[in-house]
Amino acid sequence: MATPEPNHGVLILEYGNYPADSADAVVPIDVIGEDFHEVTSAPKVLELGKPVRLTLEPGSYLVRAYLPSGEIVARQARVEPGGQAVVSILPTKPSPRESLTWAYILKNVPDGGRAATRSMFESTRHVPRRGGEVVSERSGIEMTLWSHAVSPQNSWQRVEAGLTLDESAAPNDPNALAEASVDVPAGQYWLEVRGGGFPTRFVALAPNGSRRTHVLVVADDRSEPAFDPIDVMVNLGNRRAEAILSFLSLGSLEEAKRLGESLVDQAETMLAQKVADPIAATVAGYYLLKASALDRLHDWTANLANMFTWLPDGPVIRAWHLLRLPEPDPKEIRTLLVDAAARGLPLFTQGLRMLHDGLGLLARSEPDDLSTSGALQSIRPYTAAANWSALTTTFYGSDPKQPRLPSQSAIYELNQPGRRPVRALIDPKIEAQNAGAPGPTKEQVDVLRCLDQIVPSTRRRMLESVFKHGLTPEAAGSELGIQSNYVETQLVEAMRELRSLMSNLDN
Amino acid sequence: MSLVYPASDPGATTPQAHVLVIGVGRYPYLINGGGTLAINHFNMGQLDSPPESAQAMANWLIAKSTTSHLNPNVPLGTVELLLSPTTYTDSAGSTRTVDDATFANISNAFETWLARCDRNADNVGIFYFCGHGLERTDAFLLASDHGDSRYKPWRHTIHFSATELGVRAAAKAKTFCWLIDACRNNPIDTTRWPLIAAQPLFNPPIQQMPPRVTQMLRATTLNDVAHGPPGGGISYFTAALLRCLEKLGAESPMAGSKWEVTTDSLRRAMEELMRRTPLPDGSFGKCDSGGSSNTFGQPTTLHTLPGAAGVLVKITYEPEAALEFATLSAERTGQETRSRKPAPEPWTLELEAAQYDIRARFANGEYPDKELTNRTVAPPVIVYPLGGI
Repeated sequence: MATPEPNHGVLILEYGNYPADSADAVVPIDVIGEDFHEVTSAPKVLELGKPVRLTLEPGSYLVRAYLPSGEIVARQARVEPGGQAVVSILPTKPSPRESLTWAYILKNVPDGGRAATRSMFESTRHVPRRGGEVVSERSGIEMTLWSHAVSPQNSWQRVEAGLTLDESAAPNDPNALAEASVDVPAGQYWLEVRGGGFPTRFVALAPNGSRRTHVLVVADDRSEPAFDPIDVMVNLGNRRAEAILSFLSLGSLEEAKRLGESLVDQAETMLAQKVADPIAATVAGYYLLKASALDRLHDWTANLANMFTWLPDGPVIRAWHLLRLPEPDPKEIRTLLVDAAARGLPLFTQGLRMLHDGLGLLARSEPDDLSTSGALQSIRPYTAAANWSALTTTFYGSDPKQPRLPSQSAIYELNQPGRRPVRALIDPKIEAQNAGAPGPTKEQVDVLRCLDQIVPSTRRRMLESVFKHGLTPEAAGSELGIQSNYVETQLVEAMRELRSLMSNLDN
Repeated sequence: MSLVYPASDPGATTPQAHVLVIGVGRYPYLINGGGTLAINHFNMGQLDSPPESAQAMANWLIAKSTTSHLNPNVPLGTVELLLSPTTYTDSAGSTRTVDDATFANISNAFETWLARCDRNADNVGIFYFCGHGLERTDAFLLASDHGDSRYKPWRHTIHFSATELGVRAAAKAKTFCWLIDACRNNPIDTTRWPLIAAQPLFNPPIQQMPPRVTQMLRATTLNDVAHGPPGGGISYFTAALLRCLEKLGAESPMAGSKWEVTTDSLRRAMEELMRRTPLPDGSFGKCDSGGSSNTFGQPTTLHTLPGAAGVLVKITYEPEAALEFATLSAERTGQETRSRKPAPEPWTLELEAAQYDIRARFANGEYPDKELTNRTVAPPVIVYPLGGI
């Protein structure tokens, strides 16, 4: 061990708490001196379980770690001459157990259990089970594994085996609604997550080599979009790739940049050697496109597009790579993007957006080309129902062939057999009662609870102002800082939805 | 008609920042607009905040970016302003008329702005819009004459996503900031409107996309609405933006002897400041910087600050339950001590960048008193936990 200079001290930086599960986890950091300038000898990235020793002049040092969730963890230490100070970076919320560290370090599972208590439809667990389906007895969350193949005929098939429920996280974290592990072979596999009163969605799963893919469903009031208070976290099996994707999704590009180079090295080597880790390569591809690091993209984007024909992300990345080169050939780019759409939906939301944007760019510059408009048409229902804040492609709806946004699909879902308990919560009389009664009735409160699950938060807040607090739409609009006619429209729309629901339930 | 800084464009080809500011409050074809109601009105009406917000943005840039908040390498070049209603009051209180924010005027101003941006690759393009917005997969911004035709109801609606993509694809300037203060909800019935034939302001042919720094900041997240104060005034997003440009959005570590506001530090500060901004409906504000548009290189410096940077600070205690018994304080040598009485939530405050002693005291010893001495409070955002560390 090196001896510090006599008038210097040592600052040790360390990161993590469950090294076994997250051995390749990394976090971007910066170290700042009292003069607010950066300590240039400090590393830009801290690896889990690999402490770093810095020999520094005496003084106070601020260490900031940027977690993929957007959380900034700040720690400070004073280095004395000849002394040694330790700074430990830990996520603010510890994982309930080792196998979930990926979620808690990388994705900042929310604190508290408030959101978890919002589950309403626990009584629906008597719905007959279909093959291959698992259900969390605690939260009522049900999961089913699906496979998707474009040939023959764009088929979606339930997969009978490969999905295992694991409830062990829940007792230690009230926000953990369900946990499962899945065998995901190479190919397009989707997890249907439904029940618990939350909007049904289909989440793309990444193959994880010989390991099982972990999925954690957590209640999260901070989730976007606002009408969806749960987050489905999918473990990609590559911590750097997950962290980079999270940073890219958040717009935290500086942090992504710090992690990106090491992932690119890994992916470049693998693709050059035609070693099959398409997930790391795909994320590296998205990163390099963002970074405009064309000199590192080489021809391996072509390998990615050609070697993994089940993966739509490959031709998307290749097409955008070509767009960055001098004099790009629109015909070649069109062929790639049309091929990507024909393969199915990209695994990552980033790819879905780039496919949509790329096809849109082509369609606007070549409006008469039928292949482009056809490809755009094929993905349009999915882009319209997508959760754009998810890392892996996620779309809402109760049927994978009929994607719908939650405000429509929740109504649809409530009409399914086995959902009749909700009937008791919805009484058409509330509309009449509301006319002259400023205070909330029990029915109104129940309806609000129901609406809480199925409509966007803003509309819910409008309804609360009117139903609960007896405000006129004009007063509600004024209080909320929005147009009163918008409040009225939303009320009418909500009541229309309720009436439609009632009508369907009665039939 | 819409150039508000300088009096005329000198046509400089040295690196400059060029700004296009649009504030749309009057919509003749939306509710209470006085015109024939658009068939695609979606119950939208007139807005008070956007003209005020847009003027505040333009006035700040003209007053500060040319004096106290300079960027010596990329000074302010031009500010183009379109308003609806069209009355513009400058910082000195003088009024004049600028171009109405119709689609045609916006389109012309956009082309002028983009041509200026294209004069030098090191130029910075800033596009600010405050008004009605919609989003269904793509984002749309409503010009004042949105919905003026029953037969082509979307002809005066800006296809913002395509516009931004076009700029990303074909503009010459390396840095663009898109500041979008508009709703992102989706009231558009898919059955009735399977396609939204909105118009991009820029629709280049396929060509090489150069590397670019693009920073997009939006006033709300997908499927949600942006907010203005009841009764009018500057919107919450724009008010936060001006505070971040003024003092709170600086970068640390420092690169030189002055605090700089960069594309990246502005993003961090905006996200945190909006999270702290209470809205009239009881929720808190948002700033969305995610999405596909942001490509990166080295963050671009927007300007330097004339003095100390402000820092968005959060002081908490581990466990957080202790906070309702804790008196918290932040003390800087030679300055008045800031303190807060016991309360259940973490203490969010703004301090000047400096060293502070941060303390938690418990009157009845419910939890251990804690003190962090000589702590560096560095911009734009910092969280200091006391207690369990």
